[in-house]
Amino acid sequence: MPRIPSSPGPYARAWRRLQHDRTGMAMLVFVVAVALVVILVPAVITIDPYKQDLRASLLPPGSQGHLLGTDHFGRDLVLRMIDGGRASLSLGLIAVTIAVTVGGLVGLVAGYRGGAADRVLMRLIDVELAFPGILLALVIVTILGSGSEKLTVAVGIGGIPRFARIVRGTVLATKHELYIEAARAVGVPGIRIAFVHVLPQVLGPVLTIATFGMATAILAIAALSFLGLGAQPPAAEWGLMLSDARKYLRIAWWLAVVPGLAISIVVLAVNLLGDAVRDALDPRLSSGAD
Amino acid sequence: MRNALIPIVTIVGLQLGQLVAGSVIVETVFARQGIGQLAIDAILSKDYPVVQGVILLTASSYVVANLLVDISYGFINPRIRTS
Repeated sequence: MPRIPSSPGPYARAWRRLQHDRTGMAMLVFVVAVALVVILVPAVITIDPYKQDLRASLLPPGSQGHLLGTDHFGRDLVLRMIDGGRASLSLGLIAVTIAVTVGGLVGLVAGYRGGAADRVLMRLIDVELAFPGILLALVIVTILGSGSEKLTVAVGIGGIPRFARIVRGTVLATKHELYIEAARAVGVPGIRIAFVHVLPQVLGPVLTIATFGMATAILAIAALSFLGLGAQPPAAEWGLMLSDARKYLRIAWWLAVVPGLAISIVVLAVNLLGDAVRDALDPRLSSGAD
Repeated sequence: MRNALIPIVTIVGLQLGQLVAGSVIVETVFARQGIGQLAIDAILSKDYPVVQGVILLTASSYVVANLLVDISYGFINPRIRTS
């Protein structure tokens, strides 16, 4: 006789499905490992990614004491990659957090209130959508001035429309569910319905979009730093390191290849993780067996 | 063919934005003189009227391109025109 399983919540079930997804789990482990390395290594041992040693400049990978070689100032590439990774990943995370918070609130208000609030907010979002991605971030950086934290705000603002639309769509779909009506019938105040009963429904799609948004944000931050609008030298940031390395491409390829590969691999891993999260949260979409 | 065209045309319209954004990076890498390079130079030298001009141009061309995409649906699939 089959054992009747206790009914876990939808998110517990999604987590179980994710655990069965080999690619997804591998990518999750990889992303967490990268995050741990870039956070823990500077915390455990004191590293100085700015220490120059001009006699040991442009050493190739595998040199004594410099696993990935050194740059044109003799700064160790491993340490700079770790320091830069922390900047790239944390800024990406902050940008996504800004986008989720603002976009989520806008979407929730627009979807739940409806009427004039909906029309005004969604037209504003449409206006923002008219500007192509990076270009919008460029404009905001122009207004705010360059620098890592301003760039993060710019990329975060650029991510708002996606979240606003997805949250609004989900809220509209759940607003007319029976249990919402029941809650309203027993006199639960509107704001409590919005945050306690509607918001959990939104969490799934938002988590999926946020994972993809994280990849986009890391890429956008690297691209804008590459253009010289983000972190300023001598700070280590993957996009900035790539931009610096461009001048030495013919004599020191590793300076460009290492940060370039790091950006590509991390963005790819986060994207694959996003795929897995989407499949886990919405099994109807995935073609594979549960 | 005609039925397959609709999603492709949609993506083409949306890709135009990526194209402009990409041109900003590519023109910097290969030192080409284009609108992307113009935008970056203007931003770095805080030349706001030029930035505004570039943004207005690209944003409006993006909107017009997507309008053309929407109009082209009617030609690809006449059924959409009536609904």
